[in-house]
Amino acid sequence: MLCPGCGFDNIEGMDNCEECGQPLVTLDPSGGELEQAISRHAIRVLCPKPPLTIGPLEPVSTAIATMSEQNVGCLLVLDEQGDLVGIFTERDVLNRFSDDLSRLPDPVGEFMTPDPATVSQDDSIAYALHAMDLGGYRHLPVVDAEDRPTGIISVRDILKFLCVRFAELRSTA
Amino acid sequence: MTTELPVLTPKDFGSDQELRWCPRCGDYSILAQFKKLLPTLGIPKEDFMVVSGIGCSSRFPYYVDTYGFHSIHGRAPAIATGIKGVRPDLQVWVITGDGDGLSIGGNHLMHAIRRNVNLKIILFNNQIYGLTKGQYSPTSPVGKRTKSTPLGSIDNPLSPLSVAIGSEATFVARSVDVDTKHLSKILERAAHHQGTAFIEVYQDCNVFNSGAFYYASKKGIKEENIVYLEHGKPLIFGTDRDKGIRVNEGNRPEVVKLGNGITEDDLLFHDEEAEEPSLAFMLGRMRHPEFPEPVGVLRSVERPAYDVALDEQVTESIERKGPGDLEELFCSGDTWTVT
Repeated sequence: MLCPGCGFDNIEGMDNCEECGQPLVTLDPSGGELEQAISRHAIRVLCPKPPLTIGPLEPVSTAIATMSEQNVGCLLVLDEQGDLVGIFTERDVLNRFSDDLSRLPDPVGEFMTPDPATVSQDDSIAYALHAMDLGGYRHLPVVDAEDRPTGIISVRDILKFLCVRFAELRSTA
Repeated sequence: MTTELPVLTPKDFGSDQELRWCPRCGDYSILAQFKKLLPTLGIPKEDFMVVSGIGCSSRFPYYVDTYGFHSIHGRAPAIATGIKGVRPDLQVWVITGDGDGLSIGGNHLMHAIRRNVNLKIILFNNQIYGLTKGQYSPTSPVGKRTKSTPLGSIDNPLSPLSVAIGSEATFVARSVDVDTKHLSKILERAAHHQGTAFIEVYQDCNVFNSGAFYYASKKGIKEENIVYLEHGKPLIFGTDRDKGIRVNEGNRPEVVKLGNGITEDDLLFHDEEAEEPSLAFMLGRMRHPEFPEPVGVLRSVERPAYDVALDEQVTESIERKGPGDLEELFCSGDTWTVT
């Protein structure tokens, strides 16, 4: 069980956190069960999918074709060093590209959303929801400690998580 | 006849109130260290007072079984000053946040500190307004996108340490919520200080500003990004403890690598007792990523406490003039009848 105070991963059944002494037995934070679930669980429980990536100089036609073939809503744009420099999403296709279809050969870097907001696997699902709400995003890249992309989550992943939790709650009610 | 005081434990300071912080919030850790500290101070339970303003952190008084006051936004230092004025025997803790303490109550905080009222002030700094769901605060960094800064903050942030040192605080320290052993030591130091003890705690708001202090709290990373201050010792940091802080010819701090002719003797030696606050101010301005950020006690000096001086004035006046009469005071001097 993760300590809500310091994040230390205690053995299930511990009365107090081994690291910081926070009582774990009497911990009964407020809020509904679903609210608790999104605050308590980290993004890793969503099992972020490996991201599909593209270079910023690749033609936008390639990006759109890849998204269509792979049935995904976005691609992460990585530079030669593998650093995340942008995200190219369905919204970018509609908002930045659809006005001039003759630009299909132009580089995807000109149409992407640069410096996208990111999350880490240890952030809470609530934080991911907040980031999506704040920026109006449907996808968030998941990065490691060196800011390297390791996965992607979508609002659909969170919706699935909530549906499963909701069904569990109803079955135990 | 003497009365033996009961031996208290952290559990004795736990209240029956429902905790209303988000799971995994950094506040839990601070609360846990606080409850561990109180029974070690040898102070009767009824002689503690916890005063707060408004914000997530300001729910603190509900969660410790002491006297407490969840007061007005930003006004905790003023209310606590009043409490110390009439009850100097109490140990009074002020719990505030970066919004409550530095925006709404910046003025009150500054004056409590410059008066050196015998208060222990813990400022939970999470660089966001958490209770109101994610607006930027006075400590949010430039460029921070929030609900109230959708294009990124263009405000220069306040440094809580600079505010405290600029107000001539006699005790200034910083710690990190999940660095529990360090936080315990800092709280203990503050508890024993005579005068205003100001502690900034880096606190993670895992819902609205997750990871703001990742660099200073994550094991394996923080070693490169923070420097632990120890009185009389050189400022050394790094995973291999191979880096240090030196003051260059321009009297500015710089990061140096030990070796190649640079020894520990060349480094800046910390002096928390320096009467002149310049060193503490300089340390407080060292910010990530240019510098490792200092944690520990930046300044600890002695100066008469406000409440002690006030108590002396009152005692002396009573000895000289008698206890006084409130009714007589109301009717003395210039009075008017309003019709």
